[in-house]
Amino acid sequence: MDKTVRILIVDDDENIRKVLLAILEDKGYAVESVGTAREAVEKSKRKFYNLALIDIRLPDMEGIELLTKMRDTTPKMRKVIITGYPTLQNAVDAVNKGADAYIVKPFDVEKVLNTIDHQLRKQQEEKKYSQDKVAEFIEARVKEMGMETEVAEKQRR
Amino acid sequence: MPQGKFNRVLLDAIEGGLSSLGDSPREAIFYHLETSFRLKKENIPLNLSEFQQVLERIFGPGAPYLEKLIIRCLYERLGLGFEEPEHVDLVVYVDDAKRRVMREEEVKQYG
Repeated sequence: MDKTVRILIVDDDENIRKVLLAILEDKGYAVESVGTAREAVEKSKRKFYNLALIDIRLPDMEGIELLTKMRDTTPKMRKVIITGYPTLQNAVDAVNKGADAYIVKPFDVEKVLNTIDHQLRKQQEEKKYSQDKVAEFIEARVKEMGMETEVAEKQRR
Repeated sequence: MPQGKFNRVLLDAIEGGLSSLGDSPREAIFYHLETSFRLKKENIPLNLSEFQQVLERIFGPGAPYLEKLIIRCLYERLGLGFEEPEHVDLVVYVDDAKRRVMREEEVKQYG
């Protein structure tokens, strides 16, 4: 796994942070963790994280509210909500506020890793799609410029 | 630093800055520079104004953002401090980098 894939864990439970950090680092991800929403916002402003695992209950803010805050500032970061209270309403709220996936506590490690892997693959696909669009734009723009030049030359003659 | 070495670092910084768009957009830019504007990649450092104009024509108001990324890459590679201003001009900043590198070398050489 590429070391540059960065994951941010946002959970006030130190034990959960430690466990997730150990599991994810073992898989080769570059992992950082914070205990509050405020720290998560600050960190994600300074550095790009490919994915954040966000506990639904944080001491200074609900995880769902954090999603709203981060949706505009870090649109490309995949956001996975962690909850110990799996209700349908929670799931609907999380998705509406910009969560890409949902993980239920206690963790099934394999499921956590699969969810992360799936989200990172989707991120790569989106990135590739955006890059192809930029390349298409460049192509189209250069053609337009060629046509503009031709028109200008005809007008000069 | 000899001119040739500076130009190599500059070209590396241009590649680095354009890479932020992704590999295929970067290669598309180099391809069209060569085929549509007759500007080969290795000649960009010697034709920086032309390169800047092409970026402006392709990307319009988005061009300064790319210029800023290239400048940041260049200053990082040269170990120079760079505070991002509101408006950047690639040619001006490359000249500034060149002057600063030369001045630093003079200081090292003559004290």
